Amino acid sequence: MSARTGAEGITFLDHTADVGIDVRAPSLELLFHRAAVGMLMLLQGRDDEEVDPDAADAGDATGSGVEGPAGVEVRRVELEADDVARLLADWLKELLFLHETRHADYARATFDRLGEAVLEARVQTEPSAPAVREIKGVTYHELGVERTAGEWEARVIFDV
Amino acid sequence: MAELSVERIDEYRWRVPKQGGMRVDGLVFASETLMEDIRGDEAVQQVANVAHLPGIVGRSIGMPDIHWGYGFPIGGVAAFDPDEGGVVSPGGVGYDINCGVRLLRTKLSADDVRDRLGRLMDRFYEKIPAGVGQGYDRFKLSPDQIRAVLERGAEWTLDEGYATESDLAHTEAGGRIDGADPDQVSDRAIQRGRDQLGTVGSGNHFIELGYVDEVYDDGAAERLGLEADTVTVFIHSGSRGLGYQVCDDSIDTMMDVVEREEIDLPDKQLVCAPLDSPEADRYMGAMSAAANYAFANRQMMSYRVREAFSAVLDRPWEELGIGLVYDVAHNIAKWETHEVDGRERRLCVHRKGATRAFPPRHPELPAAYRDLGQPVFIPGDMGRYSYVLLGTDGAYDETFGSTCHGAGRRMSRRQAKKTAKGRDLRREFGDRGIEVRASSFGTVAEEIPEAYKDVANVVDVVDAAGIGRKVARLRPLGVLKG
Repeated sequence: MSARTGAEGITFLDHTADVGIDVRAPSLELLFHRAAVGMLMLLQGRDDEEVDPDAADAGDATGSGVEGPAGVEVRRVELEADDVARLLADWLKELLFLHETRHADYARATFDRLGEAVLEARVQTEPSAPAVREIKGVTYHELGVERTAGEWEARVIFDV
Repeated sequence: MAELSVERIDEYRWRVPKQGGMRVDGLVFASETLMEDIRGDEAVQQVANVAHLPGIVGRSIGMPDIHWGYGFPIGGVAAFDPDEGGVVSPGGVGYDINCGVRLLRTKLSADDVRDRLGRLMDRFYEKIPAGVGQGYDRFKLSPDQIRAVLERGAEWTLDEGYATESDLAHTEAGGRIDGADPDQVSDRAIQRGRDQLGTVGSGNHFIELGYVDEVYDDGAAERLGLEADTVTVFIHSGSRGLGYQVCDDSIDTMMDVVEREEIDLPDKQLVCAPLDSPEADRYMGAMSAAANYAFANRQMMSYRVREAFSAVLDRPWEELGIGLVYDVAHNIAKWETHEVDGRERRLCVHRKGATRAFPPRHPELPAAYRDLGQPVFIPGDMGRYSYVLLGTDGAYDETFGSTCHGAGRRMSRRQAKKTAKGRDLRREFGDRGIEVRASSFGTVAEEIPEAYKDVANVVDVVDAAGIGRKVARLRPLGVLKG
């Protein structure tokens, strides 16, 4: 498996059959955000582009339901899991579900609560651009989240 | 982990002797050249890992197109006996439940369609949504309809006028797997499936218009309606988002089961449940329902293909002789009876990236093929060729009636995109006489022919090893991709 950095804190893993991401961030919030951006880049086939994953992170996702004419919506996501790795997988699965059933792309999130076993967030989505790649699933293969010397690291492999 | 010991048995067989926690041997079918590739990506280790699962019988098997998957390798076959504590593992089926291939034949020759190829492919592209989320608004199932699809599979399409009796007779399990239980399919899976029936999807899924370019067994080819030059249509897709969600839901459930039952696994993605547990019942019910959805999905696309031919050739499809040769799954777990250690046993056979290949005289074959063996379809890449095979007694004896399923990638998707960068792919395919239609040429770049191994090498191994028998080779004229 080879790897390539595509964006700040996101490294795309290159495997013959499937794809994955390594994510690093100084906080758990940013880790979850960057993982979501990485997955979106994979869906859009933009994993060979240089982007700033945190560019959309300055604002605050507030309110609920349809907001404004651009189809931007804010959805509430509440998750509980046994450990932080499964929580990350569940988070990405949730966004994948929105992407597929609502044709909505993750834009950014405000985490009202994020611990190692619980997540409460307001997720801002926008109408999705046509995806070029289908992600079938977020797998548990090599799934991991670790905290090392003030930094969070995660690996997620997707079935495409 | 210690270096895995692998012994060569003969020109096409490699044994992975029981070692560590393996309960049975592994058996990999490959030529020396293919084995070099296979060794590169941990697939043989995965064959060994599967051999650790409770209640596995016979051998953990790897096909010549085997490659790394999650837990189970892709191209793997394993059978489990409930009387020996056997398990079912969603990872042994994969996310795309009942991903499979069907082949339609026509009474047309390649020359009959060459000057209308562009129009035919345009019509396919208009009528059959391909890609992610595009064109899904055209057809949405009501809650009652999707329940019927999950329960009855391709039978539902017959009732609705999208299929013929003959289509069903030429589909594995008649297009309906018994024991499907829609109540075990989550709301989330149903939501994902409501607007995806009759859609190709993305990745390596496709619809391919082609023709028979070489025949290896005239008699068998004639029986299948595949004489030289006959125009054919391959449809490769599965249960779409609904199946992916069923897999996802069950992996979550089975993680808890593995903990409860204290099943020791060499890889987390091998999560499973004892076949006599309620969780296994629920998975088999949901998985069978998703498999039914996939049969209906491929049938719906066949209907659209027939419509496209009728419109472009201005003749009813019946006059064009568009019939189904066969439809077979290559990602599924099924209850089947096989002889192991001199005793007939009811086993749960997992095929992940492996095609059922039942021999002549098997009662599950359609009457028309009873003396012939089951048709098996092995797609290659977009630019070269694909194969039609028949199931054999050898496959029944050695591989629980299974054979390979495809070429297998040799390049990662990124590598393929890099290789394709700056090239005019549409023109390249055009120069080879192949019309390509795709919702995104990004997908085509990832699927360029050189990204795949030469499927001929895979098929030659199964043919020489006797776990499949070559009948014909098909070449593409037009390809619809996601």
